[in-house]
Amino acid sequence: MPGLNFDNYQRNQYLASKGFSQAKATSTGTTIVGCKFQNGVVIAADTRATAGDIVADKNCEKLHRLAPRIWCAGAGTAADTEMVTQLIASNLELHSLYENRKPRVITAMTLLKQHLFKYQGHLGAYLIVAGTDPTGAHLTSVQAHGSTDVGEYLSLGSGSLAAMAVLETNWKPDMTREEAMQLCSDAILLGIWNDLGSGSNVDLCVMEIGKDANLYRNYMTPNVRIAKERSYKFARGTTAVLQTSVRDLLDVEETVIPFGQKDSDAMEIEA
Amino acid sequence: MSLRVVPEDTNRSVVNSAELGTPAEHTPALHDVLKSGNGPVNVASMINNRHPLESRIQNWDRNQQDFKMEMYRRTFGAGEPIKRSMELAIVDATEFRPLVLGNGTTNCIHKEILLNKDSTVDWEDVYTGGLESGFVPKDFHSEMEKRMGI
Repeated sequence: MPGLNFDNYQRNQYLASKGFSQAKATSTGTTIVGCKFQNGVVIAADTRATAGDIVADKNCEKLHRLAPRIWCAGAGTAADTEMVTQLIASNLELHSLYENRKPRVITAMTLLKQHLFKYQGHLGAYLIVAGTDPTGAHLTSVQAHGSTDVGEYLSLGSGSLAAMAVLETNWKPDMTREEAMQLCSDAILLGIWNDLGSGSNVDLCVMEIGKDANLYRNYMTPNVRIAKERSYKFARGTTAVLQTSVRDLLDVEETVIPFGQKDSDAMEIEA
Repeated sequence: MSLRVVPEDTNRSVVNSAELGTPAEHTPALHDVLKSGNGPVNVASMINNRHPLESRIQNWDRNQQDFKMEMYRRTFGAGEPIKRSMELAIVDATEFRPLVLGNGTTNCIHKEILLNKDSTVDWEDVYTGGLESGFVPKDFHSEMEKRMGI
């Protein structure tokens, strides 16, 4: 069958019932936030991907591009957020070509929620969709089951409570671009420090009305790995060389020797 | 007719063994085990312990189409859905791509236009269910026999 394949589901159930372990999806225990300001919208995310209690990726990208000026931050199952946003990005591009109009945030959100609703939450994608379009700047969030919210400031993921604390305290209407960037990165930083599922760096994307979107990859790097106290590099010559042998490279020369070339005039067939 | 938005759960109360596999020409109540090449069909495995999403996804497009047709019927009268179904039937009847060339049901541009899918992309277009995903085509002759009603 075309489309997503369920063929292995029964097999996996059977194997699980026999005590074999099941494959686990990498989830992004995540902090993502979004916040509107005077002339646009900012979204931000941390960069830790986790698989159970293991950090799977210290610097993963959770900000995805849906359209040049519509970006989205994803929490939940890492692969699902990635693939769903890619698919919807393609659909959005096709749709904007079809309509001959710039894609709108509301379109992106609707495509996402319709797609996610179809899969009843089995696609674990929790997204904050933000962007600017001819109708202004917009900020919405989409849950895995297909429900959506619109807000001035939003947070999602396991660190959303810590982030929301910052947003609720420091948010005020009509902020400047710098204030909004500051607020969002503060919110993510609180997620990074207080939520075990979030960590590493802060990614940030600013979308201003009438301007190109700016992605600030690793806008803040509060978790730079410090140098080891001792250096374990061995100086050259620490290990004695017992013997050396240098092998000459074989040089192959190819020459094509033409056969019967000089008699070519004599070979010509005469009519 | 109803205006169902999502497909119904397919918890069958009656199972027709013939519809779960290819029915044999000579004994339509039985599977054509020789032609399908899969051996006897285990009816229980076709029904029990399936993923809860499977039937929903399978019937999704069908259900959406029925929903739309029912809306058209209520708004414009019976003629509209009849016309559209006939157009689809014409395309289905004229466009023929043998299964041995791949499971390309989604590649028919005429059908996509009629179904308003010509400017969208979905998993069906990404994972086309071709030979690489374990699709075993039926042999060409039985496909033609079925198509021509022989």
